[in-house]
Amino acid sequence: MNLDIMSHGVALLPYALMASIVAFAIGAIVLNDLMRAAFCLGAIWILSGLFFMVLGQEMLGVFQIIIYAGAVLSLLLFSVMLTDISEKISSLQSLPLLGFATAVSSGLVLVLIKFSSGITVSDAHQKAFYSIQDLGKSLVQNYAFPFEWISITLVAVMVSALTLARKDQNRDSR
Amino acid sequence: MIPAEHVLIFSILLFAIGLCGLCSRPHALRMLISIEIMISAAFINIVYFSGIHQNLEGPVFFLFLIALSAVSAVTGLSIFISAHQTRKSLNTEDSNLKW
Repeated sequence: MNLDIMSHGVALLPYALMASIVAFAIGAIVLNDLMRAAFCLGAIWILSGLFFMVLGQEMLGVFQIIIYAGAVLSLLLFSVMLTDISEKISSLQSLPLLGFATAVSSGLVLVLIKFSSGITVSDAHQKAFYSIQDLGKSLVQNYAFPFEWISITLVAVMVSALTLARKDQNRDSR
Repeated sequence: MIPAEHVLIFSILLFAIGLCGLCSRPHALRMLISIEIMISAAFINIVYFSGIHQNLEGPVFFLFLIALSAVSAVTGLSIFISAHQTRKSLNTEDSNLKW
């Protein structure tokens, strides 16, 4: 009996995570306070990481939580604090744009309905099919050039972000 | 294993929420938040289908994409801070941006 409840709970966990992510996404869009919206986005990133872990990709879930919920969220929060957080409340920017969003979403659902019957899911169980050694070897051996390219991009972006965001003395004195 | 249809419906829902947020709010930071929600929907698909196909390319490309996505977020935020210093507003309706 207990095992039955446990197995049902484990089976329902991904769906609970999905429902929570959707609820936080709606919160991030609907809430007028930008700080709360940023925290909702952080919750989406953390729950996505947990969802990856449930799917058997523990390492990617950890990366998601460290990079997004750790680094990018703190940057986003500081940006919200550094800028004017009093957002002019206007719920609808323009109806044509919202119509476009609805049309794109409906189109995606239609494509899914048309092609979902062709998707075959193997019976592969939710477990990691690689180790961190495999991932590291693959990064260094097969994908060395993109790996280095990403490193250079990160350094370039760090310098350009510093240059962009620093307070311009000449501009202030004007 | 969760059926692929369920994950696809979930990611489409998440993408649609992000798209509606992007189109409905004129604030730049709010737009960035909406774009990040849409990117999260794409990441969920990548991770799920790499698990189905059981190959190493999926996780490797996820790592590259997560780095590039963080890069885009950092660049966007620094541009917004710079714009706030000059314009004192992040409302896109107030700025005369050209395509």
